[in-house]
Amino acid sequence: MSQKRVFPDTGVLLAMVVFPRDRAGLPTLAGEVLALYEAGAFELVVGRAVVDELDEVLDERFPAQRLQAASLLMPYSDRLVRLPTPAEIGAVLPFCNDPADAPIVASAIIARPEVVLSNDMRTFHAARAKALWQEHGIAVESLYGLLCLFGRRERKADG
Amino acid sequence: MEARRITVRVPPELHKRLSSLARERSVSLNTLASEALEDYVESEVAGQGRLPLKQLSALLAPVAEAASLSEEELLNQARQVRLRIWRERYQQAVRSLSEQEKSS
Repeated sequence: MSQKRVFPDTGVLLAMVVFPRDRAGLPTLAGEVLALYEAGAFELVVGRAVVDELDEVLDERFPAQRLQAASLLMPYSDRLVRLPTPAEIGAVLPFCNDPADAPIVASAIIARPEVVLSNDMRTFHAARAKALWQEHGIAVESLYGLLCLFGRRERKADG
Repeated sequence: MEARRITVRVPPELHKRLSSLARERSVSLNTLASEALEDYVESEVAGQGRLPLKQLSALLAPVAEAASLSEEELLNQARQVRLRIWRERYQQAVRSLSEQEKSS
């Protein structure tokens, strides 16, 4: 059975690796999703645009760990989803509440995943973005939603 | 299936712990070592091509905890990075393309 292909936004990827547990040591939603990934429940397809952001955040917040983090990601670099062209970014701009999200949204369209994973409700889960995902046959899920998709949580009544 | 022999030299402390575990499980040291090697090979094969998120997490999560970094703080920073990258790398190219399309 082929695994679901999931495209993560930078925020959820950061939450998964930096905050897998809360201050009490209990798994966070991001930590539970990380555990699912480690168990092989789904495949992650990551955009070069996402890794570019990740790299900048690491440079600012984790300068002493940045090189080691980069070397861990290095073997994966040829499998990253390419950067979108200006035309591809322009095409998704009308669907983005904030133009700065357009390169990531365009990367997700290029990646052709089954699921886009983001906790950014303002852009990725907004009605007009959902229209774009639907047009491309892509579902958009939050961390909680992804756990529901794999039967680890119950969907809330309001969706 | 005919078993093949390999000889592995291990530190005395590890040998002691392996022997103790084998006794606890009522299996031979050979069976325990063979199972451990099999598990290792399976996990390596399953992990091939997968992002090393667990290793990244082991590297970064303790640093964030030691610095009392909150998730909200980090996500705000990621937001600022996104805005900066948009302005520095993409905005002008997208705008120029849009202007070219309008004028043609």
